[in-house]
Amino acid sequence: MKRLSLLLAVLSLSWALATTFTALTLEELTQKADLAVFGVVENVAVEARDGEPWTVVTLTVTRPLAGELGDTLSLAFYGGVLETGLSISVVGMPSLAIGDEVLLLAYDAPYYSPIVGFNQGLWRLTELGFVDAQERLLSLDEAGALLLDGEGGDTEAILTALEPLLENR
Amino acid sequence: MRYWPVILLLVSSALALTYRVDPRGGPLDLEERVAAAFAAWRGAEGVEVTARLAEEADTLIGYGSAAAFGPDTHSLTVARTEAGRRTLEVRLNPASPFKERALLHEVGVLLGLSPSEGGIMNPRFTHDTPSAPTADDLNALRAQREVVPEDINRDGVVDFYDLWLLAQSFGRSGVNLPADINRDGVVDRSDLALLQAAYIFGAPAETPPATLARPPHPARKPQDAPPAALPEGEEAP
Repeated sequence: MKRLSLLLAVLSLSWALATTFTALTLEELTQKADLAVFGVVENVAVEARDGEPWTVVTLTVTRPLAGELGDTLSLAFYGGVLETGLSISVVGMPSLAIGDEVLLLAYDAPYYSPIVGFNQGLWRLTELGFVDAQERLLSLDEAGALLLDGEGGDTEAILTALEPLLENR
Repeated sequence: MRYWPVILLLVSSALALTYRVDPRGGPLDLEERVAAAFAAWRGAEGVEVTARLAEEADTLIGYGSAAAFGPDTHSLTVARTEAGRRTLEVRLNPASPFKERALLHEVGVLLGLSPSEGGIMNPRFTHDTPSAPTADDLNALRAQREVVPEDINRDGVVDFYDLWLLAQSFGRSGVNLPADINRDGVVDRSDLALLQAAYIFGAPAETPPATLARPPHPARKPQDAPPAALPEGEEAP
């Protein structure tokens, strides 16, 4: 039952959009972030808070980029499925599963979504590179500057290019 | 704090929607704000939207916690299922300077529209986000009333390309997903059954509809794109 609940919790989170938020530039995303990390999702669990489900995602920190980070980082997202049967699904909420490699910029605050820009500060690593909720590839241009939408680029080079943006906050 | 359940029922020959308004946690004139938002959507030619009270509603418009929204989020669309009952909740950020625009967007969602890349149905707000539905928004509302729900790509025929879109979305959940034909929040076998019943067998058009012309998901391989046409002599599935 617990495994089913976790599975449903993950499935109930959707990349579809209807929730509204402010569109942010890459500079704004990095300026706002309290935490920045590249890591791997090692656990997804649902817990009740005030009777409502929150999905707690725990990552192993592969590369800390900004903020006070340990070996792991846990972030709670509003929504999920409780064993009581109560299901809450927030449209547009980031969907994460065990094993996902992600780059994220987050607030250190208990928001419905801790990701900066609701879901804009989250990129999943795919075979083509870091992909955001709009299915754009985080990229480097010819001059080495980061772009929210481009042709992709070397993962290590992108993370390295991100660091000065985070240091200049 | 007082709770005023205001239940409205929208009925028209084209649209029928029931919802409640709960102003707790934000400006108490939410009922008027909601009415104004629906009025703004009445500009769609041929789409009549009217409202009346009802006892039970599966859709609730209210406020969320300002502290939990954070600085970037203006509204949430929340699907809640409890004891077998599915409700749709719109939660506005009471501290957002864009409450009216968020409400216009969310009312568009309630009317069945999917998010778009422009107009008020673009969920990513900028300084250019309009303060009222645009002509394109209203055209989208009218267009959605002119096709059957099985026509997922809205090209006037239920065919292979609709099946392809359904297959792409199979297993997804959300609100107003185009492939969620029965609008139960999940793209699943029940939607496939509805599509099958409406399916028109025949060779698909040689040129895919414009809705399929956008670039494929970057995380997918190019060969995942639909074929432009079946080989000569073969029939569509």
